[in-house]
Amino acid sequence: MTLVLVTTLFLALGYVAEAGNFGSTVCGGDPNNCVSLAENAGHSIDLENVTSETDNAVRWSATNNYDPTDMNFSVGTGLSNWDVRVTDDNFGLNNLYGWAACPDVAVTGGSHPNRWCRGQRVRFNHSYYNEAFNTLTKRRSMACHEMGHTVGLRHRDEGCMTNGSNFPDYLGAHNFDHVQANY
Amino acid sequence: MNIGLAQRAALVRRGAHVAVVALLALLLAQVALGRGTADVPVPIHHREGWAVLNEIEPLQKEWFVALRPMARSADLLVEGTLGDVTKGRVFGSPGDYVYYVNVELTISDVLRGRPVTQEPGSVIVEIMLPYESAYEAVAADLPGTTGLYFLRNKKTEAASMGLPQDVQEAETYFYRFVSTQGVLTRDSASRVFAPLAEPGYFPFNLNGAAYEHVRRDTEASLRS
Repeated sequence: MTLVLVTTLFLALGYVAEAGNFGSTVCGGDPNNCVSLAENAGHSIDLENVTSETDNAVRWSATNNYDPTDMNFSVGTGLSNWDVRVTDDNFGLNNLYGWAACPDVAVTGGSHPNRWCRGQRVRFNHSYYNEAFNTLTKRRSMACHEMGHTVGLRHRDEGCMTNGSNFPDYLGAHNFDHVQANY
Repeated sequence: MNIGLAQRAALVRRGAHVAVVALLALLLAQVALGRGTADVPVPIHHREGWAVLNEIEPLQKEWFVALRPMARSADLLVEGTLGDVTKGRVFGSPGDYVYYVNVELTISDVLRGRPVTQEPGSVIVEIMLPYESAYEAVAADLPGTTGLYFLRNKKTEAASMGLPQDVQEAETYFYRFVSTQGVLTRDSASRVFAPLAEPGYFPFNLNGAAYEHVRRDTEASLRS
């Protein structure tokens, strides 16, 4: 009986997880995602000691991928009050082109699947520069992808939120609609 | 004894409540046991040291849709057991460091490739921590984890990327998982658990499968 109950709970959680690719999830739990929402539609991005290429790509993505939604991205350097801080560096050969995270020192609120995080970190791994950052389109795609995670988008085989090395620089209709519906 | 419909319904409701409470108590007891006691090891599924490794949302260079291409892609594919975890290299710059650990992987069987190692019988798997303080949980929980490990040699990777010779040499003895998909552990019930798998994507679908069956499939995928 207990097994039935556990299975039911598992399936129910799984159903929620697979219903769409938007929403925060328990970091390291089941399902294994770690995505947080933005606190609100105003999304402030701080660029900390990034290359001009990364700077341009993030600004391009904010303007072309997210500003057309109901969100309002602002991008700057040396910001004192930011929602997301972006850095780029040689972080080692770890198979990761980039990643987003809500560190333990960040401010969070709400509960899953609507937990938001202020103080998220995005890192672009230039150890893989020649594979993922050596063209304008790749850099824009990377920015689109990681910014998407910071507003609650999980992976989906569409637009820039796809897994793998395809590098589309557009958000895609489904992802766009998710952002529209939640901010 | 004759009882009315209303009384009968009340009895049924009361019985249902008791059953639900009993079920929840049983469930809570099992969950509590599942978290581990002095005598019962914590199942892989509940080990914080694996869970914290999922506390980032990455875009990965290597990504696989099935077992066969992942197995055939690996530089080294072994069955083995994770051992000592030690603090490793640090990358990045002040204020933005990224921390790694070195995990000793004792090899019981080599399915593909030849280990590059300084210590015969084991290799070093380098794993990035989501944050520095995650070390404690990782060091406590990863040792003892047995399973299939699909590995990429970092020197081989550096060479394929055309990185300078000194950079390649520095990576000689380091391995990484080919991706977060490249860890198929065997739990206490001899079932597969992929602790880093992403829902909806391979190898999440292998969770709960018979470990020996998956191992045989892996071997077969290397032959065909």
